Amino acid sequence: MMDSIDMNQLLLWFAGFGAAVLLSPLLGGIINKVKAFFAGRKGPRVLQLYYDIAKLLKKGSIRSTTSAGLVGVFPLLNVTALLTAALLLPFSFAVSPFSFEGDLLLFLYLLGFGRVITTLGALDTGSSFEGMGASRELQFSVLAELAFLGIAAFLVIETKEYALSAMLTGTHAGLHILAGICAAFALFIVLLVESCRVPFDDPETHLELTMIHEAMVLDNGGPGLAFIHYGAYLKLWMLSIFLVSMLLPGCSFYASPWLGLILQIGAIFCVAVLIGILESTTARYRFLKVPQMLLAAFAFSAIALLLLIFQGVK
Amino acid sequence: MNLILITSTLLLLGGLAAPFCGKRDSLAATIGMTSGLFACAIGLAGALALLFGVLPPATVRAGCLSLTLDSLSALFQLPVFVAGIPAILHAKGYLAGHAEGRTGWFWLFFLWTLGAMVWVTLARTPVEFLVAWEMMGMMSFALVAFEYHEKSTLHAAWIYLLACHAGAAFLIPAFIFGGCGIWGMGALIAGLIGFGLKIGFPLLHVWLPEAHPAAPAPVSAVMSGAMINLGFYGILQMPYATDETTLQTLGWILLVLGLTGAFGGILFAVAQRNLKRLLAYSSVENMGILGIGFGLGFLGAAYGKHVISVTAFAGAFLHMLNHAALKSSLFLGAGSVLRSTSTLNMDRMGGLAKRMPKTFLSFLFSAISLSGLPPFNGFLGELLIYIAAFLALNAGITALTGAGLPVLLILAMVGGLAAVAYVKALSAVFLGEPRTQAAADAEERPFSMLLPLLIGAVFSFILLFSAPVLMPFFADLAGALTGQAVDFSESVVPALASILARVALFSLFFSATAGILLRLRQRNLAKNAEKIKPTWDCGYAEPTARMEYTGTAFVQPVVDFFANFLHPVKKVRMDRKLFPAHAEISVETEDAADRTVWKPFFHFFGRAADKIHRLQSGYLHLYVLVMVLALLAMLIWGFYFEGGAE
Repeated sequence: MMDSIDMNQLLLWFAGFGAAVLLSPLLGGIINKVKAFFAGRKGPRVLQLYYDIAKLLKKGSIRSTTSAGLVGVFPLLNVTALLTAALLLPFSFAVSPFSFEGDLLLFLYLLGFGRVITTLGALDTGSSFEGMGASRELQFSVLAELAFLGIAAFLVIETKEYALSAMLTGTHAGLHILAGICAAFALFIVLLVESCRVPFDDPETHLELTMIHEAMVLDNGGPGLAFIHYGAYLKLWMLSIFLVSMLLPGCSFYASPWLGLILQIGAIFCVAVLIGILESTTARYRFLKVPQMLLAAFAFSAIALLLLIFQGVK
Repeated sequence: MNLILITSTLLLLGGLAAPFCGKRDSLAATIGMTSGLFACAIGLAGALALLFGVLPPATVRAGCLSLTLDSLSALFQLPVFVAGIPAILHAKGYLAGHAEGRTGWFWLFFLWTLGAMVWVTLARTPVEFLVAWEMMGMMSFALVAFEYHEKSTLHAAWIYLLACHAGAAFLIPAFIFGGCGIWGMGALIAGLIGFGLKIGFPLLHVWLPEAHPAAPAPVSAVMSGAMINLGFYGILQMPYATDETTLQTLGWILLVLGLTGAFGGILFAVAQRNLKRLLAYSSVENMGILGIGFGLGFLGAAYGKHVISVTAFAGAFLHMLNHAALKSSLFLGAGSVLRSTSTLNMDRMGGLAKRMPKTFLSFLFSAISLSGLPPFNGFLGELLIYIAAFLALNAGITALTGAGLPVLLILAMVGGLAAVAYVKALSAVFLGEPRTQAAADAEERPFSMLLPLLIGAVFSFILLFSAPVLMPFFADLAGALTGQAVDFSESVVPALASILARVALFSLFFSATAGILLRLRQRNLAKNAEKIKPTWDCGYAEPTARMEYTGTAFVQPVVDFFANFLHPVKKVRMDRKLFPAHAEISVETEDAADRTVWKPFFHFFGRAADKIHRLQSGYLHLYVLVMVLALLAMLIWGFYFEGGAE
């Protein structure tokens, strides 16, 4: 697989990786701008998150007397896990140079590692709010993983590929439109849950009892908080790449390969706008409804799978 | 082979010598520990030498015994030594001050348990195997019952004894009839039940959550890390035919048992309050994962898909080794916690991370790794089984697609639930503020009880990086066990090895990046020192440990979500007035198999026995009547059948 990657593609891939690392905080700015537009406000600058992160990085940090030290470390480990997982994604619709068969699971489980370490960091403070957030986060993750694996099985059957970036950039010759739409919709729900957006979680509110992710990071400040913000948008960027690559054709399809990079980033920004619109027009669900929505996501991926399998049987 | 004989002899003699020390506990411990450690180290060297081809497979005749060491037995010996070495080291500290005058006996039973496990892997004749198997059961029964002063321990030991004997009751006919070539599938099923009782297949698992909490921690470590695997060894050793039908039957049975075991095991692990019970249920889960791997392996072979078969087998073998290293560390860590806090109830702990930081680090690593999360070794075996399931989806055979799909979905849920169970254990035991005085007064264990945890972690890291090297053996074994005469060394083995090597590289990348970031953090902290302030608590003036989440509270949403499976019983006690001063809630989750099958089963037999008991009335003429009736029935039977034959 390594031989088939030419220099140009490699360069493209690294450009895409660099874009993800550098530009992901922009997503927060875009979402907030869209929400401000709907609310008739001017809203913060698009680059606001960069200023926030820079400010936080300069600050000192604070630690709870209860903590055994995990609380300060976990944002770093979470970002590390995300960066490691990002190596497997098809940036600029090019096959990742690091990909190998079965790496889809490494990707998925690295995200899982980030989540576990985040909940441990939250529980480290002994705060009841953070315990609540961690408990909810893990409860939902059980079902989110189920839905994600359903989508993975769909991709594996459809593309007959076992490496993440290969299956996402496959030519989609036999794209089953209805099944594809179901799977993409399931993935969009998973994306919203995993990146803690409305209608599952509200990154804006500071009412502790209703939050998941924000409740887990209450006791973080300074550089740790900067990494948490950064990690959240890096994860959103990565999951958007997943979604976008599933829907759009691979890089060999484009007249100029650089078009792929631009198109991908543009599509990710579109996902951010979509999230902004969704957050402006819907309210957050009650907690009891979240597992139901996750099961709905799983149901959609199951429908996609069944459509595919029965088509294959015929 | 001579190495393994030295190992056996050392274990035998060391065990024999220890009780003669009488009241001199430390002497007994020294004798037991030294001979045990030497035996395990030599045995480990012997098993590795055989696997890596330094020594050839060999058979030794010692008197009436015939012992054979081949690669399958060497592979199943590895967990014995990998779990045994840390357990032996840990046992001395664990027993200190808790087994006055009885230490020698502990070492006798402990070393002989280890010896019997080694013997099980070496025995080749049915009688010898059964003797070794029974010895393993009896010696470990003595260990489970070792702290017999407590009533709960005796109950647990009783259940374990029942399970051992029930296992033998199925194994003896399986071996007799299977050995004679009659019964066929019947012998296979009997063998599956007999060995399944040791493995802890669903329904047959009830002894695990009882015996593991009752047994001393080093014993739980060895039983969970090494002994229950031997059930799979037994199944793989059975003289099953390698025709398509048998492989299919075996594959489907193992797959279904594995899927239910994995899902049910981890679900009940989530709901436990007792730390060692949680770990025991997690063993049921992990044995389920092994069952899934072996099941997929047999199915792949049955349908002629060699790649699936080898991948699944390799995943199962690898997961077995990883589980041995990680679970024994976790049980030993639980033992250390028990010695420091005198309880296993997780809701009565908390805050131990600051009091026992090294034990915490070991437990943290093992728990995250055993949840199957990268960048650690617990991920590797599951990864291979996942890949086998993905391959099965695309195999183009409806049966294999039907097998692969549930494997993927169940493994995904199991992964998520394992994270819930272990985050619960970690947070309830180690994080937050201590919830009792005993937890607040806990102290770090001495070096002798930390060293075994370190050794367990070292084994895990060795496994992470040496996994690619092990692939050729696993492929050969998979081929031999399923009768596939295909050379895997060209195609499948390099592919699997490269996947595992890539994962190891990613682990290195992860460590390097994390190292750089942590280094930067250190530098930042050096500039502006960290402020240490109480946790933000929404403005309460007097935050107490009672405000933080307990383990039970942490898993409550998950337990409620799966209430249909778990049937948790909630007991709430609260003053019925305004401003209740006293409130209490307890959630108990009884084992589903116990509740729905075994209790009604034993209840029924108890009542039936009571009815038959009426025969024992004390009237002699009634007894004579029964005897005459029995004789008459036998006469009729004899004449009828013999007459028909002539």
